[in-house]
This record gives sequence, C-alpha cells and structure tokens, in this order.
Amino acid sequence: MAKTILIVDDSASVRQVVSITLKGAGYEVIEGVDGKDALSKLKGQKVHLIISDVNMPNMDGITFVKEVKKLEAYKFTPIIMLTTESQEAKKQEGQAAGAKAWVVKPFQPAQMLSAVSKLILP
Amino acid sequence: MTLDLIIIVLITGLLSGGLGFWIARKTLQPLPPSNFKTNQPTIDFQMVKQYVESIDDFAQRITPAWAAHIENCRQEMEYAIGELTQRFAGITMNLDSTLNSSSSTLDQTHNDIFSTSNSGLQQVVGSLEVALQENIVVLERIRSLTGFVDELKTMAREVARIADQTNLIALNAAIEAARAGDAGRGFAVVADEVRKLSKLSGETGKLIGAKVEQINLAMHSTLALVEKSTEDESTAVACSNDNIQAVLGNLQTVFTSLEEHSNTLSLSAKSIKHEIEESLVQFQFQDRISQVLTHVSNSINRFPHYIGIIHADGIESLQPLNTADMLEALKNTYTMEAEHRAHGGEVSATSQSSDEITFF
Repeated sequence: MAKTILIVDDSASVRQVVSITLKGAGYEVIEGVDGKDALSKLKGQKVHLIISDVNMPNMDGITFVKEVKKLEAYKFTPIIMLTTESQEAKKQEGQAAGAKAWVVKPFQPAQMLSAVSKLILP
Repeated sequence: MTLDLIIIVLITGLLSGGLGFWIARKTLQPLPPSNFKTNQPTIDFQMVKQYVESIDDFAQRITPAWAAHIENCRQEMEYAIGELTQRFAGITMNLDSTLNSSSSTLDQTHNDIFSTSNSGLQQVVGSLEVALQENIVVLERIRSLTGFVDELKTMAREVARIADQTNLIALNAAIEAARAGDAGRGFAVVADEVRKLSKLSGETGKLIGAKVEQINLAMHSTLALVEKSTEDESTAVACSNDNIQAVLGNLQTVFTSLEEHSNTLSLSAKSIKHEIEESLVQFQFQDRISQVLTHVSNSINRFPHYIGIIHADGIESLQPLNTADMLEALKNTYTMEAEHRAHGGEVSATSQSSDEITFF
C-alpha cells in the first residue's frame, strides 16, 4: 500500500511540484495551505511523512512542527522542512522543534525523493 | 540593482532631492532688506509646514498605492503560476494515464487478436486436414475393391471355360448316344439338355464378365475422380495453410508496426512528460519572487512610519530620515541568501537549485 505524505505550503505551485514529484514515485499525497489547515488535515488520516514550508500565514512551519509533535499519533512522524530559509539559526529552530531534515528551495525532484526515501519507512 | 533597493533609493532620492531643491530655492531667493546685514536666509515657516505636510501626504497616499500594486502583481502572479502548474500537472497525469492505457490495450489487443485469429484459422486447416484424411481412406478402400473386381473377372472367365468344357462333354455324349442307336436315345436327350445348360452357363458367364468389366470401368473412373479430388484437396489444404501463414504474417507485421508506432508515441509522450516536469520545477520561482515582493511591499508600507518619526517633533525640529534603520529593518525580513546578496548590490539573474539537504 502506498505511503501517504502531507505537503504543507502556502504556494500552490510548490505544492503542485512536490505533489507531482511524489506521486510519480508512487506516494499518495495530501495538501495543506498552512500550518493550521495541515493540522486539520492530519485528523482521521494516516500520514507517514510531512513536508512543510517555514514561512506561511496563519501558522508558520516551526509552530506547526511543534504542534504535530504534541499529537500522540504523529510524534514520531518524520518532518522535512522545505523552505527558502538557509540561515543556520532558522535550521536550528527547525531541528529544536523536531524536524528531521531541511531542504532549501528551489529543490530538484531527485533531491527531494532522496530525502523522503531516507526518512520514510519501507 | 534589485527592485527593493531601487524603490528605497527612489523614495529617499525623491525626499532628499525635494528637500535640497526647497533649501536651494530658499537660499537663492533675494534676501529681505532687514536680514541683509546678518546674511541669514529667511525661513518661511508656512512653506516649510506645507512641504512637510506634502511629504506626509506623499507617505500616506503614494506608498500604500505602490505597496498595493506590488501586492496585486504578486497575487496575480501567484494565481497565474498556480493555474499553470495545475494545468501542467493535469497534462502529466493525462499523459501517465494515456501511456498506461495505451500500452496495456495494445499488448492485450495484439495478443488477443493474434491468438484468436491463429486459433480460428488453425481450426479451419485442421478441418480440411481431417476431410483430406477421410478422402484418402475412401481412396484406399476403392483401390482395394479393384482387387475384388479382378477376382470376379477371373471367376467369370472360369464360368465360361467350365461352360465350354461342359458343352464339349455334352457334344461327345450326344455323339456316343447316336452311336448307341435306340439304346442311346434317352441319353441323347440328356446330353442335349446338358449342352443347352452349358450354353446358358457360358452366356451367363459372359454376362457376368461384361457386368464386372462395367463395374471395373466405373470403379476406375470413380478412383480417378477420388484421386483427383484428394489431390485437389491436398493442394487446397497446403494452399490454405500457406495463405493462413501469410495472413498471420501480415497481421504480425501490422501489429509490429503498430507496436513500433505506439512505442515511438510512448517515448515522445514520456519525453514531453519529462520536459513538463522539468518546467514545473522552474515554477518554484513564483514562491521566491512572491516572498521578495512581500518583503519589499512590507518595507514600503513601513515608510509612512519613518516619515512620521522625522516629523514627530514638528517643523521646528525636523529629524533626518534614518535610511540605515530602514535598510536594517528590510534586511531583517530576508529569508533567502539571494536577498542578502542583492542587499549588498549583487544581482543574480538566475536562481540555481540548491543541493543542500541537512539531516538532523
């Protein structure tokens, strides 16, 4: 059965690019437009990995990761931050919140799939 | 120079230029006689007040309009790129589905039609082969009957020979009866009856021989016909087999050609799909541009605040515009390396994909 990945980004184009990349590799994809929306999408779903932007309206990526880690069902779910932020301080914030990897935009599909395959359980 | 720097330089240039022009104009104005000795320019506070109010008005009305235009452009671009990526995503999905369906349909159709045709045609050839074998059996039976006909002919000749012998014996008996005179008269009658019977037997033998010959002729004629028919059937079976193989060969050629075309189309479709996917990756620029425009727009929106600071204490105590503060505030909003580089004056037209993945 295909693994499900949640992509959270306020940019529709980034969501589409990530979605096509992952679907092409056989993953199921669900989308959230910001942290708040993504938290609601997690309810009643089995998500195996989360890819989240950092700078988003309503709820930013770092806060979203912290909220996800509070959820019993998702506290061990790997999270990849996909962002334009490349500053070390931000990365450390992401790491402290519980993210497992940091990918800087713009990304290459192969690069994203490599990061996903390293974190998602077979 | 990047968009944000251009806008800030434009605004500060406008302000400093305007203020400089106003001071220069004031300086070059003819001095009133009362101030001629002190050589001090006379400041018209009313004009300064009007100027400061015009700057405030500028900040309150123009900067929101600039920011709104930038925001409109950003949103329009976001919408358009979103639509484009969605359309392209739809195209790639359709290509995927068409490729899968085309490939499986062709394979399935190819195998099904070829297998059904082959099986149906082989059944026809099989039926013809069975009919041919049955004809060959009939032929062998007719051939074996010709042997019986020869036997019948021999038997008919034997009957005729026996009749001749019997006639000869009857003739001898009649002679001997005549030689015996009256004593042989009764025997002469018997000898005559035997001679008549032998004659009748001889004629019957000949009739049998003639009939057997007729049968023989009929059988040879039938045999010839059956042989011809068998030969024709054999030729027809061989010909049908050849034709069927030719038809199947043609069918195979058509399918192979179809398969080749399909493969070519499939390769083209895959190539198009790859190109679209590569193009989609490039659409990530929208997210980056959108962020830069948001930062610039926010900076422009803060401009009235900075203007408010320099006018806070009234026209008697105007403060200089703190450009360094504005730049620092703008810099603090940056999220991308390219923004920091642009802030330093470095312009990069393209944004390369980062190979950077950090695992924690």
